[in-house]
Amino acid sequence: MTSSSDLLNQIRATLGRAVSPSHTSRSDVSDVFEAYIFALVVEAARVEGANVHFRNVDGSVTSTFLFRTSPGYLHSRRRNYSYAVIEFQNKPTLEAHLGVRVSGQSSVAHECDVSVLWATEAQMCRNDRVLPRAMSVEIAVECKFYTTSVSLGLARSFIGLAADLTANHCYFVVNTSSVNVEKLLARKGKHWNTMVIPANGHEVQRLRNTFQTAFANFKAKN
Amino acid sequence: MDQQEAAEVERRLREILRENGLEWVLEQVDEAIRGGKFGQREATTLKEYYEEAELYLSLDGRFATKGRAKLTAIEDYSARERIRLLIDATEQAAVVSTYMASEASQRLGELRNGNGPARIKFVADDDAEELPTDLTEVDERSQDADRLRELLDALRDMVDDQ
Repeated sequence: MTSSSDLLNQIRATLGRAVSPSHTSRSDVSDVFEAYIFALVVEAARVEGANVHFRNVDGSVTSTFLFRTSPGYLHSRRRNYSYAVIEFQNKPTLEAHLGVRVSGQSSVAHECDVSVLWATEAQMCRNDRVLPRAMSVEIAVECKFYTTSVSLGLARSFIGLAADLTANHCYFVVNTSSVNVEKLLARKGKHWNTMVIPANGHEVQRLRNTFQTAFANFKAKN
Repeated sequence: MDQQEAAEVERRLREILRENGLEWVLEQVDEAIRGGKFGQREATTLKEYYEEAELYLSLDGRFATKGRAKLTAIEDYSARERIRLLIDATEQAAVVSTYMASEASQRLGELRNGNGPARIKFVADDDAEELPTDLTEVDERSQDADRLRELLDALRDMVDDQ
């Protein structure tokens, strides 16, 4: 029978190979989570009937996806960041971005981990080097990757963020769970999804369906 | 698993995480441990007398038992629960994050042109030269992540069973 000491020796030998050298900080793993949620948002648009393609800030077609490690400005040209162009027939074109700042109702700049906004607004931002306005944001996702339950403080911050962004669809998405966070956000009528990890197909599907509903509402309203 | 063995398992798990540069995982686990866990505990509810002056003579005398109720309470994590927290956190940081990187790469590749996984890089939006995080090697790590998940499951069972 394997002893706990043997198991720990095997874990020691395996962990070093399993963990990416670039995942040695919390923000690195959070970046991966944001990219994963970005993929789910874009996938939801595709399932809802959109034509999707990827562009870089300089207008070139994306071959390697380049994303931000920290919040930045949509108009920044320091790096050739990638984004998705989402086109529904006879509807305004949308763009999906990762880690850009958006101006809230109070004119304060907030970071949106994943955002979907009108392409006209995005182009104006690139032309005039300004921040997108919250009113143009169709989907804003706050992504939290934690190795333990997320703290209640993060949910409280999200409630404030959602109030200032006034986004039609603001989502709080976490890889773990927290009964108190779920309770608070449910009572406040906010969108939340916990336990969103690849192995949890049910929650991943539920989240993608929620994004699909957001796109369906966008199509109906415009 | 007795107290002594549990303490040794926790010590070694912490050591392994530190050796692999995962101090940030320990910080999150320690924050969770400091916060304690929410539970329910039965408490005796009280009522206060205002009318009967003689009861004010002693503080204890002002209050009378009203009934029993289940209320929210914070409790410390047990030694076994602390190990569970460490195992779960290790799994999220080393296994789930690897699967997530693989899924992101697969899904974006599929959405772009369907010709295999996409190459994803992360770079900071400032002047600092930073080594990009590249997700292209993720598939090579997936097998190790599978093996690590099995080992963590076995350790979890050991902690739960004994």
